[in-house]
Amino acid sequence: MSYRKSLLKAACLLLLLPTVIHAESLRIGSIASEYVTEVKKFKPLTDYLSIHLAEYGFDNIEIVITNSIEGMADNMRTGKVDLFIDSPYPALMVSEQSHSTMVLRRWKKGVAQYHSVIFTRKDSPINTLEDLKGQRIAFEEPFSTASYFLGKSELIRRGLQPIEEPGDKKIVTDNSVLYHFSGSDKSTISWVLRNRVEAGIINNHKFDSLKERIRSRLKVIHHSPAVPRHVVSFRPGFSADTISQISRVLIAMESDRTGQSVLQQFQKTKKFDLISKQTQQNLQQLKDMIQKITPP
Amino acid sequence: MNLSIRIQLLLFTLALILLGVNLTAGIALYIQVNTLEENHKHFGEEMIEIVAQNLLDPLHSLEIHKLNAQIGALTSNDDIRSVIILDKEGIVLTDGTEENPLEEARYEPLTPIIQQLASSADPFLFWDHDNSIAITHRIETPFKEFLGYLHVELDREDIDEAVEQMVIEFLQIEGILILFSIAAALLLSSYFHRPLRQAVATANAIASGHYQTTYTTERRDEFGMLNNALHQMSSNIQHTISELHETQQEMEEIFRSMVDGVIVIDHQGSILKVNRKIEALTQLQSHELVGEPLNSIIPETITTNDLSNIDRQHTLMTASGGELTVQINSAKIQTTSSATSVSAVLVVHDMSEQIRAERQEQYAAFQAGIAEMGASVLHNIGNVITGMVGNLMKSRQILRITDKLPNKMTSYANESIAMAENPAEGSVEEITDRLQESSQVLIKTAEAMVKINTMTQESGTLDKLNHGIQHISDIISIQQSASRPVIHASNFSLRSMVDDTLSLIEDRLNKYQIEKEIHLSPELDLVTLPRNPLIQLMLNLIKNSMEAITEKIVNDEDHSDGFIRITTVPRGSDYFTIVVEDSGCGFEPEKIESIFQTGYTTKSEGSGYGLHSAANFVHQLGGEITAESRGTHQGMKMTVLLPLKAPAKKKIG
Repeated sequence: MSYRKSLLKAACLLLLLPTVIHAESLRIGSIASEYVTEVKKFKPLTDYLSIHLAEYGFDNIEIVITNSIEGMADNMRTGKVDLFIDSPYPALMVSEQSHSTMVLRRWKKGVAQYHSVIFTRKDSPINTLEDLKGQRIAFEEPFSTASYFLGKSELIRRGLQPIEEPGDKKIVTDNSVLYHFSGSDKSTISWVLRNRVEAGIINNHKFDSLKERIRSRLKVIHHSPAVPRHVVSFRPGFSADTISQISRVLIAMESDRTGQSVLQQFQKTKKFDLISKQTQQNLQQLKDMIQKITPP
Repeated sequence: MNLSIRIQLLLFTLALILLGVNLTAGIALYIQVNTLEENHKHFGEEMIEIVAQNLLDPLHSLEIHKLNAQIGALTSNDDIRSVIILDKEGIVLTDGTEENPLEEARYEPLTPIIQQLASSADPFLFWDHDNSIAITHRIETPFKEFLGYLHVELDREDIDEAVEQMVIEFLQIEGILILFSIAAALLLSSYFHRPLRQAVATANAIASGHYQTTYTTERRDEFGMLNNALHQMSSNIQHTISELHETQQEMEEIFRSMVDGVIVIDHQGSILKVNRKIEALTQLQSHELVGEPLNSIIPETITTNDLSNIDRQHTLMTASGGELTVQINSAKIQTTSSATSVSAVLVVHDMSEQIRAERQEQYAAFQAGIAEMGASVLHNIGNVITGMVGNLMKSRQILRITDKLPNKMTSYANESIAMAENPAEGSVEEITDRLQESSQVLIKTAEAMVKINTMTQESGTLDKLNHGIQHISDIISIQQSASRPVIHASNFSLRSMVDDTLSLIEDRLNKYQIEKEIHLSPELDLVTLPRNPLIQLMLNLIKNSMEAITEKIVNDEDHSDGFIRITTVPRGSDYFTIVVEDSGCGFEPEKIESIFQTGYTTKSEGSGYGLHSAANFVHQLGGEITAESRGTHQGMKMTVLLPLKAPAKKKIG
């Protein structure tokens, strides 16, 4: 008897659902050159969110891929992307251009935050940032937070004038530091070791993970302030409730076994948590610095 | 390991098949592996040439991520196991992995390769490393600017898989061939095995003595011939065994009835078999002797070595405790078969009769010697007496001179006495005349006495008489001592023995005008031997020589003086030789064998016992006697080798 009643109730609910729930898509943005790879990367997360955000009206989770910060900033500004997950420098750039809000910190690869390490060869006479005047330094690539943005910010903050070489039309002065993009942290290290440049910059985790035989040949001359490893930004105009609902779901993932598994599959993310006020202030300072950094 | 012909054939065929298949498989695999390796190398070379072009810029600018991208392009190929890019110094830049374990380090296996490549005109070097085909390439720009090295290791898995696949296929073929070969071997072995089995059964039957159990076959091939030959062999063996059985019975009868005793002994010296003669000699039955040790009847130790060729006298014990002197000849049975335990056969000849005969013979010879010596002695005595008679006649003639002197002297003495008693009856002139006559008689008497004395002294008659008497005494003494039939060894001077011997026969030597030469070694004199038999021996030899000389003189009318030479020579520390040589009739060299045999003589009047008994005597002393002659009328040389001291406890004579 009760079985028949249950079936009846379920049928009634199914008939009523389309009228009760207002279905909506949540669009997650990412900057990448490989669409398929990027979609595959986000797939566990999107699958998870499609279930857990359904009750908040998001029955569909989309991945929007762009290949530039400007494109992403534009998508955020125009509402084509609701949520953007990336490292601080792109997030700050997008935020700068689209006024997006950085709310959550993503512990990508289990790392909550990181900072830049500026290093030279151990036998180098360079011991401080000031010693880099007139010297060459290698950055990884123009979108790198730790291997470009933080380092360049530190140089500027110390009154030095980073000039890209070749291509920069700035006049080289006594305070100039010539920088090159190596393309990868490994190249940066290789360049420093082979005297192609006098200094290099990589994030502290990579530096710490260097093999002893390499690290022993290098000397750290400066550490930058720490920044979150990854940042979750929401588009302007997104309601605070929705941001709050999505944030709660993301933060709760670490306490849910399924969520933990999904986090692990999503580039070994340990968890999402809220960005502290101090960090918000730091990010704001960096955001201010962006204006001083000429985009490549 | 005993395997039947079926199994052997099977194994042989299998071995042949396996050898052939495996050899073929090995060659095919070798070719296949080589081809695949060459293909891999070619492929790797082409890949590297392409990638190396893309590596020029990133390597020049040390853009590791771009190098990684190129490595990624290479490693996307399943055949490429690993790639390493090194700088000019041979330091690893990247292996394309995130971990990049060799980053900024030397890859030791590459160190010698890089050294080799640095000086090589060929920018490619192929080598084997870690079960892979390694290709190391020197990266240069078209302007020959050296940038670094690209090292690629090609996986051999596909080669291994291909090899594995080939091995499986070969194994399948091999399996089929093995099955086929087993079937073929079984078929062939059936064809060969049946007749072989029959042949084996026949051989076994023959071996076990069942000669009736044989097979004959109509087959004309080798197996048929073998079976029929075995059948024939069985019949022949059966016939031969029958003959052998008969022969054995005959031999057994001969054995039993042999005049001489026969003892068969085993390796341990135990008696296996004896014949009737042994039973008779030992006074024991065959079953009492069989199994007993040989020394139970022949106490004297006979060693195994002795058994090979015994030819000497032994003592045979009898059941009653008696001892028989027997001559034993043995023959050792040389056999490689362990089936027979016969070690030797001893032929036992009873020497009792022979010894008795020899003793009689020796006694006869001795008697003859004594007779001869007696004759010689009597002859010598006669000669001496004849001499003495002559001397006596001479004395008589001498004394005849004085025959009338006593009467005259007596007459004159009586007249002188009468005149002295009656001086008146005569005048002074008469008395003076009488005295003068008496003086003349006395003078003549004195002269006669002087003459007798002189004649006696001159002729030595009395001495000769005295010597003759002494000589007779000596001869009789020698004869007496030499006539003793059994004499033990004694110490004596060899020289005195020779002198005594010569004195016994000297007269005859003189008679025939035979010269004698005596050469006695000054180093040799005292010996310990039976003296009298030795004198007899010497007498025999000298007499023999003397007769040979007279024989020659009579027959050849050779009137030249004969000679006998007696020489003694020491031989080592224990022996010496007496050599008697003559110029007599000699003998032909071919007759030397029979010269010491009883009854043989070269002389017309010889008895033939002299040399035989001499030889017996010498042998009993452990010596030797030899005779030499260059031929008839060439004289003879007798050499007697004797010990200086006779063997102990040896009864001679």
